[in-house]
Amino acid sequence: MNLLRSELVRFAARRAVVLLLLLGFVLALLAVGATLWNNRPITDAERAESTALAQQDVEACQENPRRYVGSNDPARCDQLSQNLYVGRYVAPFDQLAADLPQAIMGILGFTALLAGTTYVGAEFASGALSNTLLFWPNRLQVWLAKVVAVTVWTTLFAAVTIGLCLLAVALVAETRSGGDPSQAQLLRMAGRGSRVLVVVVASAVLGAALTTALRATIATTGIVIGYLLVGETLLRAIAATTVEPWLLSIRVLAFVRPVVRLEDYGDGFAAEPVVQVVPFWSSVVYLAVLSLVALTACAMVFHRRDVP
Amino acid sequence: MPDLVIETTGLSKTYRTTRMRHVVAVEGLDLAVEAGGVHGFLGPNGSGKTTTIRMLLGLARPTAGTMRVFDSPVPSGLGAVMPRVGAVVESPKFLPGFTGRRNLDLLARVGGLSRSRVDAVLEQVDLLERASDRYKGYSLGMRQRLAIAATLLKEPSLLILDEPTNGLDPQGIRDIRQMIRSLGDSGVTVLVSSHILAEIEQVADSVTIVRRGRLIATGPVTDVVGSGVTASLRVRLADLDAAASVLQSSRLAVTRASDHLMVDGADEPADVTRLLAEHGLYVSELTPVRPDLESVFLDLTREDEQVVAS
Repeated sequence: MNLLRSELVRFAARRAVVLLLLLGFVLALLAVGATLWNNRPITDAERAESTALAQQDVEACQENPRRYVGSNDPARCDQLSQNLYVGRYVAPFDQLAADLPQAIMGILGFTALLAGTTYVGAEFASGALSNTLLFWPNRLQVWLAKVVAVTVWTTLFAAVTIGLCLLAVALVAETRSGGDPSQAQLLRMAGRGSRVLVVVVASAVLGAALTTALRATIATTGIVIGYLLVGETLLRAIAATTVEPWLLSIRVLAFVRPVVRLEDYGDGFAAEPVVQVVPFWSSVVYLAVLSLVALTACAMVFHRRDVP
Repeated sequence: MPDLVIETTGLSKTYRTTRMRHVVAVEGLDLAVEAGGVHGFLGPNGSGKTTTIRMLLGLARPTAGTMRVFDSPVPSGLGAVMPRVGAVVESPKFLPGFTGRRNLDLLARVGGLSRSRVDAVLEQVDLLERASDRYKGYSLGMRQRLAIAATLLKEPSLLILDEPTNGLDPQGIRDIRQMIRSLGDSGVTVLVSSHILAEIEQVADSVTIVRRGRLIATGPVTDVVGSGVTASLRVRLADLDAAASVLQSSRLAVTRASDHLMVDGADEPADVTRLLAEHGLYVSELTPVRPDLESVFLDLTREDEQVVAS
């Protein structure tokens, strides 16, 4: 417990870690705020303005119908008055509840990964880790204490941030026309939120664990970003149909959504796409096995390698 | 059989570089440090001192050989040993954004030690007034003192200090030297590595000299110094030229200085006075000039180079 308490203090007292988590919190709230604003209900003023614009189009059309409706019949211009030129799409609650947790996951997952990585990387860079090992030489216990500290703090952070974001979505949805979201809708959103929480915590833990093996923040971030930006793109380019269902990002999406449909149009001219469904439970098993293997490998490497 | 605090047998460490080359840092080292007193661990830069210390502390894994600390095998028995061991390896290592006190607090917490020890050791190294400052604002000397304070937290029976006076001013060097000596006198075994030989000679009871990862000499300082280079004699008298001629004819090595001769190769000082008196030359001063650790070290490492070259 002494070791764990010390690691909990170290994590929370690292300024870079706190700033990263704070950045994630602010960005997540901004993303939610921006999404809610962009999906605000269409106001009467907007409706009136768009009706006026539509009327202008109808009048212009009646003067030159061929240009607007491809016919010389001015009567066909009336169909233009049915269009509302509001210029934005207002997503229904279910779509918001599905898309927002994914957006939050991207932001929080990345900042949590950096926080976990920085926390361990700084210990290697400053040499503080070797000092800790002089007081507690059992490396596996030190490794475990670090992983637990990262888990505890990022769970708290993610729970508060995701909770606040989803609460805001639910509260705003209630105030808008169309009525309260149903209990089932709210539960679906909460389910997604809790799965996003798992992904965020796992990102931080894997970031920290990878750094215990690689011994440098830059190495871990380089490998993770390199895999996501270059590795997956290359794999998709080489054999999309075969490889795509097994990509980490697709499996994470399938875990959060909780199902992903992949459509492959081949050379782009196929009438019917080849559809592959990536289901939830197989993704859970896939991610669990992958995480377990990665964590075990990192712990073993940390146990064996020299500490600078 | 003496009571050994540290014992290594055939200890070796080979590093693999990024170009897949193998670099031998320590090779078949047999190190023995007896309980109590100050033991100097000497060698030029890159001779494997720090690597050996890091292996003893479990921070690096040996390629071959065995190690025992307080008669427990290392690294498997480190859990039982480390509460009795304090160590500073290379430069002091702390989190730069934390204060000195906070860094020590965290270590005390890890070691399950009383928080009151923190202020006690800070006072012991004269750092209490600056304990609330961030570590990154500390001077080199203050960092070194904080590192030593960290080693004292545990009230260790074995203290391992790797180049403890690096970057210290003369006053700081003297303070550390006095502290090492008093710890050694109080029953703590102090293993202190350094390449500053004069410093070690002043505080150490015994020494081990390594070069290129291999043991060259080990034992009490007096034995190592005595076994290395024979004593020279400084001889003053009126007729230096005549005396030099007499001594050289007796196959003694003579070096002429402005007002004296340095004579090497005599078994006893009395042989020189007798030889000169037989030729009517009477010495006004005859002083044995004992070799110091530095000259022994240079002599031993030069011999080693010759062996390697041949």
